[in-house]
Amino acid sequence: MTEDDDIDGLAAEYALGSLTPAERRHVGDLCKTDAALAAAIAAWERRLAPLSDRLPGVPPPHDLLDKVLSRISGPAAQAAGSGDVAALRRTSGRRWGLAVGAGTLAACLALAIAWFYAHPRLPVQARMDCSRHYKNFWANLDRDKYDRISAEQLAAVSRMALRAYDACQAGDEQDAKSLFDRLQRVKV
Amino acid sequence: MPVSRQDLVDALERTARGDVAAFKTVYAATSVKLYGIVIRILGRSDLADEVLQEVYVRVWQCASEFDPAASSPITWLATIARNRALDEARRNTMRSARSLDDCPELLQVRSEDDPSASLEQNKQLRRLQTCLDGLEPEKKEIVLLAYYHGMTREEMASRLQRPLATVKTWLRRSLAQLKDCLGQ
Repeated sequence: MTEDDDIDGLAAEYALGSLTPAERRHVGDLCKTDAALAAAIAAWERRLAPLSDRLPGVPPPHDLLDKVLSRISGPAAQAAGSGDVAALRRTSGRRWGLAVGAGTLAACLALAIAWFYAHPRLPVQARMDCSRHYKNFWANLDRDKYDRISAEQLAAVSRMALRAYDACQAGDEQDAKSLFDRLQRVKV
Repeated sequence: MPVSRQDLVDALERTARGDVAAFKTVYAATSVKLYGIVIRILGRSDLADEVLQEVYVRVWQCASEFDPAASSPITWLATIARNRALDEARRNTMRSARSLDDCPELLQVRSEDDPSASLEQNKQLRRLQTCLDGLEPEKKEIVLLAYYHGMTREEMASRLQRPLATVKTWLRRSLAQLKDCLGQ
């Protein structure tokens, strides 16, 4: 990014989707503390929103709702008591409120909360132990499943695990956590 | 499944209170639209499936954040879906580099009103259409390529065989022109 990157230009490109991975992460980080940037992003999202209105829909797989329902009724929700998911949500929301500050605007909060809920088992500020995550994945891989999957599937899983480890070592914890989290859900 | 804006607002409010039936209503009314958004950006059904699951998990967990005074339900949901898909696209370099060649109609903003949209939505769409039509064709194309397919400047520069700096300049000027035209 260069110094001539004005706030509105960055916000516009963030909302449009044309930033590079590094720029997108940078802007995502910046808007957690920059209310003007967050507001500019929200304004651009509103300006461009009509483009989504005319987009033809595509039916998702039939079993996708069941997968979502199983995730929202998973261990985290059950731990709070099966009938009190709303309370869990309120508690977690307060934790984020403390983490990001009371004045955080919706555009940033949406990003932050999405990240938090995607990684509920990891403390927000914890430093990742890259080696432990990587080795745990292979140690916990079910031997029976390993025998059943193809070499191609195993290679794909291996690549994802390596990407997670590399991202972790490079200090990109958000990327690493996302990949490790996905690996845990991979059905091999 | 056609559901009115007010019905969707009500369903989101009940979802925020932990009503699973209401959540299913939200899913039934919006999943086709949101899947259309994420799969165009990601170009791979396995990634799109995963992202759409995460989007709805987030909707379940954060439905109380929805503010009907600030946006329509579908705009709020589409913004969550787009942002999540864009994050995944930037993270996953193996996504297919889709072009608009396979769906050129996306470069043409529909001129007729959407009967399922509100009067205000159709008005906003017509206004945006007029402003987009005010851009030169190649500049209009890069705006739509980024919006619908999440293409980065680099990907667009490669597709259009233009220098990267040129594409960035075009984008910034086009967006500034759009903002002026929209008057917002």
